[in-house]
Amino acid sequence: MRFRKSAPRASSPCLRAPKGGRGWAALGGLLVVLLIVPRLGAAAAIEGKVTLPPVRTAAPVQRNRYDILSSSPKAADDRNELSIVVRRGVAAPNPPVAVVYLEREGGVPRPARPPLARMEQRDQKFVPALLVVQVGTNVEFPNLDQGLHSVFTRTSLKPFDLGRYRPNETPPAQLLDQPGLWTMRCDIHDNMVGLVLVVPTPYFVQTDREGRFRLPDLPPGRYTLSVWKSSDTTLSVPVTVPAEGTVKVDFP
Amino acid sequence: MAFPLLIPKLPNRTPMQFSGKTPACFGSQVRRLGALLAVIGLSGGLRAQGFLDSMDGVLATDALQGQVRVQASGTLDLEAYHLPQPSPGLLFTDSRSLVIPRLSVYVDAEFGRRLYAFAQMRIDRGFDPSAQPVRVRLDDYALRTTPTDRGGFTLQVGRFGTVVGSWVPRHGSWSNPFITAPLPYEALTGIWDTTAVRSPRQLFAWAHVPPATNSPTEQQEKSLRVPILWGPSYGTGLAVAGRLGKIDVSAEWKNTSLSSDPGVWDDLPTRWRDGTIGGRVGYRPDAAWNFGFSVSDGPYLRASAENTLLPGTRRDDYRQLVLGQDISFAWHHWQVWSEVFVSRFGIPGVGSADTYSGYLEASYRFGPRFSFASRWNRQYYASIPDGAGGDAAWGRSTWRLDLGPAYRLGAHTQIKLQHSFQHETNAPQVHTQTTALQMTVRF
Repeated sequence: MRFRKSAPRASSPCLRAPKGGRGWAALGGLLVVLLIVPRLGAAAAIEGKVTLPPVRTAAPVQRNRYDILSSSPKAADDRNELSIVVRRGVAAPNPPVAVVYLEREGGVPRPARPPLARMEQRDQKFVPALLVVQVGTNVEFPNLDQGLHSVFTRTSLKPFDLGRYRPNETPPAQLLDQPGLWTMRCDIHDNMVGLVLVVPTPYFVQTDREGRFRLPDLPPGRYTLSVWKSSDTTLSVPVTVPAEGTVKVDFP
Repeated sequence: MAFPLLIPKLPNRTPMQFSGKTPACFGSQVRRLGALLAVIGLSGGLRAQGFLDSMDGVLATDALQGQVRVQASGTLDLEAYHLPQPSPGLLFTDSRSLVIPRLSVYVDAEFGRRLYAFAQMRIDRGFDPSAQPVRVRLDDYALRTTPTDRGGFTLQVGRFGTVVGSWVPRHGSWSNPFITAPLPYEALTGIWDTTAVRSPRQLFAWAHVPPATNSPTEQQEKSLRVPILWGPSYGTGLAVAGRLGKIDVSAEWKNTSLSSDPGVWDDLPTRWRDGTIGGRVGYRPDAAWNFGFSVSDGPYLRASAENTLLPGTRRDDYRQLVLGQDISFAWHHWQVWSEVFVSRFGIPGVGSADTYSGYLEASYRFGPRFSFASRWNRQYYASIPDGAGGDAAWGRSTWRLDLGPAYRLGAHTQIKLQHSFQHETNAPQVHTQTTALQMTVRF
């Protein structure tokens, strides 16, 4: 039985497709479709709903008292765009979303070749503000703004400081080889916070704004299903994935 | 050449309070050393940072569905200095060591997208490090409006840092690689703003050129003298700024000159012509480079100096003209800043007293925690007629090298060390060294 890894839907624009001839890619895609489509109906899935906290209304206040030409970041009034709010030392996405991921007992092998993901610096924000990748992924942080940005993380996993980068300049991609939460910041803009959640599995998905999720095409077996809500809240529950059918799991 | 000290009766101005202690004895030094160690120990204890992390976002509130947003933040600084006597720059103490606690509380508020207000309150021992008792001050506050959605033009009213030069945006303890200001912002000239100079001999005496042997007056008079720019120069007034492509333009009208001391930053001038006009034109060829040209012109004497003027002159005949150039560069782990100023103090009856000052500063970050900065400072004084048929420089030429490692323990705490080597021509001590340690907690 063949299975398809669940790609992170919300961040799929940030994953690069491997380069190759279009003809071969099309042919390969056709073969994959022919092989997989007849079996989709037999694949197992997990779906459910995560109870999310209420939306925070306020965006951070600019603190540019000594830069008279500064103005609010563009996102300050945008209630729908995902941002990271840090409150009482807890970093969480706002509007709230959660990340659901499935860990297999004994783990799963890392990709032979590290995939490349992308967290942009745009409009004085990290975009996407929350990026979920499998452990062993290279992540790059291009600067798409008009001014300088910097990227650093003080995470205990592997702290790094990429320094300051000009517009349209991309610092070297960083291999995130430890599972956990990596908090990215910009030394120039205090309000900029980005989270990279590195999970030890290829089976993960970000919920929608209602908290709904679906992890499709899972191989049968015994797993731990986890939901990440914020830097201090991760819930887990053991699940058994059957050969086919859908398992329903709701998280409080 | 020697001039007798011509010290007029001290004007009606509150002098800086000195500790009155004799130079530090051994026991005192031990206590100061203990304080230094306490600073280091405290910083180590704060590595846990749990409490500080728990403060994140707590000091923010909003109303009207987020249209009104207010956030408080701040820094707690603990500084310790080991310094020579007379004390250098804007450090006011007659002791060889000084410990300064400073709490700065910032309030930032946004009202919609077009109005922004800020205020800063400090509790410390004087705006500049000194041996004064601890007191509370409101240092700067302003209302800024950005009339258009596209930005590019702002108007600001209140009491705020000068737009002249490029140091003010990074003068806070968290972002400044050093503990003390660059030389143009703190080296005291022989000019007083409380009393008009009447003659070259008087100016030489006030500048202590040459120094009086074993005279205590140099330290005592420090609070009367002014630098080219007094730190961030939080004068009261209004400013406009605009951006057109790669060109930034900002202009301000302030109640005081750049050299005026903090005691008059709140005073409102009775006439427009008693105010100071300044501005800066900046050019950014790309995001990494920034070039600027600044100018400022206005009377430097305070109102209470009226009765000391040369007969037939007015207060606005005593003007300070400042021209400045600044360059900054930032790329990857490097940041470089440089500023050069020429300041002309107009003195009726004496002429123009010019001084040139500048610095070159570079900082390198070795990672998310450790950085190292060095700064080369230089100040010259032009010659003026000495009244005896010759010319002489009206101040002491100075160079200073500052070295400063800094270590960030986390998102909220930072430790900086600064060691300065200074050479001052014809000073009581030609070569001096100053060491400073600062721990900053940001919340």
